[in-house]
Amino acid sequence: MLTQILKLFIALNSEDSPKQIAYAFALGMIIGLTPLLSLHNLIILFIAFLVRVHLGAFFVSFALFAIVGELAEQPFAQVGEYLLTMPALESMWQSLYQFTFFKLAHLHHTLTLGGLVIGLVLFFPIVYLINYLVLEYRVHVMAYILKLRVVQMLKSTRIFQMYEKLQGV
Amino acid sequence: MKKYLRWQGLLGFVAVIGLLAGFIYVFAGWLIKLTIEEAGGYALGAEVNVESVDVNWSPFTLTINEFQATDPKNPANNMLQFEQAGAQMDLWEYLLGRYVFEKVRFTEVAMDQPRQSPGEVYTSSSEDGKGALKEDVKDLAVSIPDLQTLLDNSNLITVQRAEELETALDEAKATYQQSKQALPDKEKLQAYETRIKALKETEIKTVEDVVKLQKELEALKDDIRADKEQLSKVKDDLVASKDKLVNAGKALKQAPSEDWQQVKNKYQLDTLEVEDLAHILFGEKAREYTEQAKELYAFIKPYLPAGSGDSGEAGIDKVQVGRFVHFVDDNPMPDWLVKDGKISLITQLGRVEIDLSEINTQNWLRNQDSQIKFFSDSFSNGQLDGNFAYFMQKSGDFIGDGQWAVEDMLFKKSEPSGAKFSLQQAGISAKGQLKLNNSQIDSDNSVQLLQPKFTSTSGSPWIQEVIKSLSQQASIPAEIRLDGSAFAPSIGINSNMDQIVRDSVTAKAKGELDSLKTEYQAKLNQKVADKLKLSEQEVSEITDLNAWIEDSEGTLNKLLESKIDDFKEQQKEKLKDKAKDKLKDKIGNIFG
Repeated sequence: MLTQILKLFIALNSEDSPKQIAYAFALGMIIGLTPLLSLHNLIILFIAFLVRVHLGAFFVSFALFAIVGELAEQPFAQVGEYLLTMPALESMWQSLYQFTFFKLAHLHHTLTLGGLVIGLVLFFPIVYLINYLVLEYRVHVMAYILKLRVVQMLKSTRIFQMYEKLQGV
Repeated sequence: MKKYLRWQGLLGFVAVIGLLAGFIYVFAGWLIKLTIEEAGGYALGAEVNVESVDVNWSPFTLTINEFQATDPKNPANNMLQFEQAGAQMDLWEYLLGRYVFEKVRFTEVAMDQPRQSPGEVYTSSSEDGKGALKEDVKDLAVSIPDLQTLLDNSNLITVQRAEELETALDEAKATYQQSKQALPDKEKLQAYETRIKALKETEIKTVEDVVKLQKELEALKDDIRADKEQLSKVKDDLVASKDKLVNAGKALKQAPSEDWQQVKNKYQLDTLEVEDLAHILFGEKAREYTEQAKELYAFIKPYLPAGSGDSGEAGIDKVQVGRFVHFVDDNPMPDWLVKDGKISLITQLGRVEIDLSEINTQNWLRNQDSQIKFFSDSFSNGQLDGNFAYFMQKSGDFIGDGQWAVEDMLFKKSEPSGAKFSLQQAGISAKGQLKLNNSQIDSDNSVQLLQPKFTSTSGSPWIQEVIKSLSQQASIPAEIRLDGSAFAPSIGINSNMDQIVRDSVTAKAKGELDSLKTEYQAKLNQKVADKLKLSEQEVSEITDLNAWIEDSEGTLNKLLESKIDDFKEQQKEKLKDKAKDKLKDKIGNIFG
């Protein structure tokens, strides 16, 4: 996890596109908020690897949101329960239920659906927010942060230097 | 396109998935073992152990070895344990969110067995009420009283009355003695007569003589009046004393009867009621089985997916958060289903084979009953046979129906029970039926105890008599009815056991009681008689004295009222005559 944090730190201070970090963060959020062993998470993992998003940010986000997801299991399940038992949506679920993919993805599970819906609803706001925060960081905070003694110490560690070489920074 | 995609990332994806799949493949058994131990421990509140879990991937089969679930109320024992559980699971259905077991086999399942070392308890459990149940079985305190105990009892009315009579007797004696001393004796009476005679013979010559005589008469009268008053007081005292004595005697005569009544009430000798033995014997067992069912239900409940009507109960821990919501399907399946199961259950009475079929909690989906059949041909040397079928409706209503029968079962305790009243040995034949409607139970059961042998730790001869009589019965039938809440049913027991006690023991005890009564009353009467004899003597003496007093009183009255008054009149007449003579003499002289 330390490696991922360093990667994220490097990315924040590099020329990497803030959108790559923001999308990675949003994708990691979906995996974190929903039960890990789900079909849709396999797809998100596939996307995260295939599309040029920042993997460090993806894994850090996954770890952070996994904690949120664990703590918010009950409300997520309630959202899923509400949606799956809503009479107005019954016919839609009924139709979707006939697809094996729907069942394999456990979208008829209250916690999975609740977590996924909340993740999807928050996806673009998180992308926008993270993008904005990265830009603001680079303009206003980065210079101050880099001068901090702790950061200087961190940058002097072997692991950091190794990653600097790898990243070509 | 290259700007957005990194094809080398696919390698990373495959690597991650491969690692994940490899990890699951290699560690699946360990992961399942860990899950069972952690989730089971969390739900149960006590340590759950699994020796190992074997996973076979084709067909997907799980084998759980050496499962032990600690009893949180008694950590030295396992609430449930089994040697092996094999479950052949439909993996495809699992991936779709359902747990469908084609075959389930449990071997050597046992409850309440000792552990090698006490298990850890995570939560404190509340009292299960077993202690209270034992307290309910009260000591059978009824006993035939020992005669000497009764006679030594200082609270006996007879003893109290005898003491009262004794006191009255002592008082009467004292009064008698005092009275005797205070009474005028015969000499005194004679002295009065002499004084009266002397007064009568007194010659009166002058008026001074009359005055003197008058004074002497008044003195005599005062003396006689004083004695008369004394006599009257003594008489009143004696009458009061006599009345007291007579009343005390009467009360003492009635005392033995009153004492017997008291003894009968205290020892319930009239009704000969004993504790409801049938409730103690059968009720305890029925409650024991209900408690076991309740514990088993509490154990498996967290693992049961919530039904459509169950929106979650406050206070009940769920192992998992969330649930699958299934919709209409061409091939509807319950959330979980055991198509075919076999359990080999080890009980204290023998091995019971249980066959399961179509076990689930959503029967309306496949429109099939869940069937449980149980059989044992070595159920304490007898045969056990039974079945139970249930159907869970979409509305959440639960309907269950079952029958059971036991034949030629031999019930025998290896060691004498420490209970006040318990069945030590009996042949048992029994049958019953059970209906469940949601959590309401309606069950009628009949039990025949054949050649029963009972024991008791009570030293009471009465209980020993009851035990003896019951043990002599060839058979004792009982009807046991359970209704109300399935987890706290009201237990109604109808047995002629109590009637047997009343009929046989009462008849036998009646003779003993009669002789006890006779002997007891004879002894009491003897106690009473001596006192009464004394009191009667005293009363007789008082009566004699009283008669003498009355006689003396009469004499004194006569002396006072007749003789003295006559004498006074005579003296007055004499004086009148003398005055007349004197007057005649004076008139003669004047005219003469």
